[in-house]
Amino acid sequence: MRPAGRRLPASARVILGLAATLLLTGCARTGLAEPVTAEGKKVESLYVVVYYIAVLIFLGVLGAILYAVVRFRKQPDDETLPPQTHGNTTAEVIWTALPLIIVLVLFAMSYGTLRVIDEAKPVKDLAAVVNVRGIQWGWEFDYGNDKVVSGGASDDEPPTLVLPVGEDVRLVMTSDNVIHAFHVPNFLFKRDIIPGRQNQFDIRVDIPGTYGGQCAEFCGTEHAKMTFRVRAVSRAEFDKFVEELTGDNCQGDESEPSAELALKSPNNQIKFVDVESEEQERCLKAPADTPVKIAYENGGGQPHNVAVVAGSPSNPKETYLGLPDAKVIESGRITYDVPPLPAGIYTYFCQVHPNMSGTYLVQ
Amino acid sequence: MTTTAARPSAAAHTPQPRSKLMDYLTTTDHKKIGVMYLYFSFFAFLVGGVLALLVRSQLAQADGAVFTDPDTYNQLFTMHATAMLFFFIIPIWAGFGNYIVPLQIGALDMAFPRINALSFWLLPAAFITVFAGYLTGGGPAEAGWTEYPTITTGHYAGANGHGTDLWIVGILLVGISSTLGAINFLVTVFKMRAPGMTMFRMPLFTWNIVVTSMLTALALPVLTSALIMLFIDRNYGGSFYDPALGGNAVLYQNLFWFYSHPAVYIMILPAFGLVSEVLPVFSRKPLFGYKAFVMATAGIGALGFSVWAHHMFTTGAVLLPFFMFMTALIAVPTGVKFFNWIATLFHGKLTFETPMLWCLGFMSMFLIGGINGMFAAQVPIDYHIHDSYWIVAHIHYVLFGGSVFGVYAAFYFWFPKITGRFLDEKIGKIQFWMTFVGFNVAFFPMHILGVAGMPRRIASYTADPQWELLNQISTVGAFFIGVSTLPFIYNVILSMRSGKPASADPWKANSLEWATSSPPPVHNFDSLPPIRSERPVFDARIEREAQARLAAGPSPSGPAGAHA
Repeated sequence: MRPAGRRLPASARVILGLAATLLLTGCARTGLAEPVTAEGKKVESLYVVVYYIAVLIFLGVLGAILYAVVRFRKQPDDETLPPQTHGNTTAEVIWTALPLIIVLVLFAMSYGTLRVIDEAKPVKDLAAVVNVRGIQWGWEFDYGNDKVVSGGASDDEPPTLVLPVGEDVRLVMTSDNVIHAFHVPNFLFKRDIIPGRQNQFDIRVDIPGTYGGQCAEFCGTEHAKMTFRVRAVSRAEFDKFVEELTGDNCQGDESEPSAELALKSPNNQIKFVDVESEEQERCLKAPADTPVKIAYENGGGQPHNVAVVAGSPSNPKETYLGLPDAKVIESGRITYDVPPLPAGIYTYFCQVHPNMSGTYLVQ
Repeated sequence: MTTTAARPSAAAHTPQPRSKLMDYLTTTDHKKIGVMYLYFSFFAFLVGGVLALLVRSQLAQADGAVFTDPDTYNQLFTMHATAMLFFFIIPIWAGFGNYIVPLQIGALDMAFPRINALSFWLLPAAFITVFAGYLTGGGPAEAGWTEYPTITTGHYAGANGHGTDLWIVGILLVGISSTLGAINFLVTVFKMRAPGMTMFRMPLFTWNIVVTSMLTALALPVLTSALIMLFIDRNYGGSFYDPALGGNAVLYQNLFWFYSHPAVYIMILPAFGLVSEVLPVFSRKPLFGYKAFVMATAGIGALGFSVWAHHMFTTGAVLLPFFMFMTALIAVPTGVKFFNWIATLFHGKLTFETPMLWCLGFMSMFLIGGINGMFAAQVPIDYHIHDSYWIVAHIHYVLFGGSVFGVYAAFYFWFPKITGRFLDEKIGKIQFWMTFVGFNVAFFPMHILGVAGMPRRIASYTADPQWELLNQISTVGAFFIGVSTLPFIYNVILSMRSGKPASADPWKANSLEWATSSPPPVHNFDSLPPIRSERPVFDARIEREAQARLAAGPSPSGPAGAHA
């Protein structure tokens, strides 16, 4: 039997209970996003090992503290001093070496994993190279040859990055505004998107499905809404997707081309809407080789303009309407003149908010 | 006689009786300045705490319905961290340092009393400057306490108001205050120690203040340069950080963390020192491995300069293996400290007064903060948890479970010295358990949110029922922490009026601050005991007890009597 004076104090019981809960609920993967990439699986394995080392250290050290608290309590009537030990060099050497060994083992394992997940694959082995551009606040996924998917915080649905499964792809990250970060929890991976720098990484998604992602580096007002999706599909489906991708929001749009176009932005919103229906407008159709007028109304609260380019907002090949001619207005109405253009797919957008964009289809 | 006559001004200058307010406003006494630091930083703690509760209110629902304008929320978390880091946790240790360090080394005051007063008075000025952002049209700073460019360069959407300029100026003022304070501490400790007080007899708290002062003096100029360059970029068309103008966005991060990582040690090392003082007192044993502790402290300080880029693993712009290795290496001196603390407890005779309770709480919570940091130190795992709620959990286990628990331990430990009265033990224990429970409820769920992928600094989040539940638990815990502050405030007010009176050495402690009356006289000491070890007050007490036994007459079996 334990002597009365050495009963486990309330404090010790609470801490021990907490520790036990931690261990029992302590399936190492608790909460950890399910990895769906080859690299993510490696990170998960490392995480599990580190988790168990962590639990061992935690229980060992906390156990020693609690043991001391219980075992070495002062007895009520004992006023003598305990032995006045000042230290022990052997002990110091041992407990300097112990963490050092743990550190070295962990470093070796992490470094091994790091080399695998950061390895750049030969370009010929890559199924695709996708340029990911972060904008305030949205994304452009550029598959090359003007095949761009874009969207942002103001859209009803986040933009989707389509990737093939079972093959390595390279994602190249650029930003021409502020720092963002590309994070897909199910990849167990993120990489910053830094203006003036080109970051890239190679990844192999192994499990088909749709996964959420979002910007992980604070980038301003709508940072929280800067979400996207990743849809991993078979190679055949991926190839078909890219082939059919025109960067064209006008598919399914029944409207007739017109030389007198109209656009509107509601008060304090970062999007273009149709003047009558007030629904988001992602497609304008104009006749070929004809000068076009765009009557634009800004509902106030945010500065906007309308620009027309070939290419995408953050990577224009040729600008047909843009600053300084396309004046930015804070509110009110203005008419922009678009020069005659040959038939083709162009992009219109607001140069203050490049994620306010749509397809300018010339027929 | 002639000397007196030659200085008539001195004779004419009889001190006027001053009001208590004027006394504090004009004082250069390190003890009064220290007390003002404590009041000021605790006020900032309350301000930061209210901001934290607003942050947690917003996150109680996935759609973040409390503050519909995300900018308001962004300003809240920015100002919460600013208040807590720059106006609470760094200054409060400067406050305890101010009061205690001269006493611990047997000095009359700090080396430069007027500069000491200046260090303090810069802080309220800085606080007002930073929070004046709320009076400007664009609101206060809003890009996080890190204020990374390019969003802060003023050329992009966000952080374009004068709030960010005021923030920069305010933090520069804090920097001047810290630098002056650090130099003052270093000169005081190097030049004003009492006879016999060698460096290796200094209490660990003083040693930790020495190391943090060195970190401040060496690292702060780098932050100062970084902030001045940012100010130039914003206001005078500079091009330090914006790549569109030929600058480098990552440069700021390198400079910022070159200071701000050592700053984490500036926030935590004094707490380490305090724990190293309190454990021996309430174990009735000397600190186990005193010199190893000093070495480990210096080691953490030195290594602290080589790990800054672990805040930048995901930038793709740092030498990963080097920084990963150096970061993990910090665990070695930290481990040495833990083992020595535990060895101090072993074979002691432990009592559990409030300071001891907070220190044991510190050890168990900082342990978690060290271990969850170990995950983030592994680059492949950090790729996932960087900038997620795991990191939020990590910094709070280090800075709340660590530093704040240490601050409370310091309050309970030194309150009798500062006021001459004990804080109430019973209320103190209630407060400890409330804080301990609230803290874990608030911050433990963030680990799970972090590995699930919830990023920090977002005003709304994916409407996942599990995320929402975990966030609600966290919010409940945060409010519990808020409530747990009330018994402390009540305790302070109550005990200052009618607390149990404390003697000069109420805890039977070891270091020199306990060799003078509580509270100490203006000149600190009427007499000093001889200093022959790192425990002069302990030595004097033992000698006094031996003398008392001797005076009581030779006991039949007592060795003291036999050898007298």
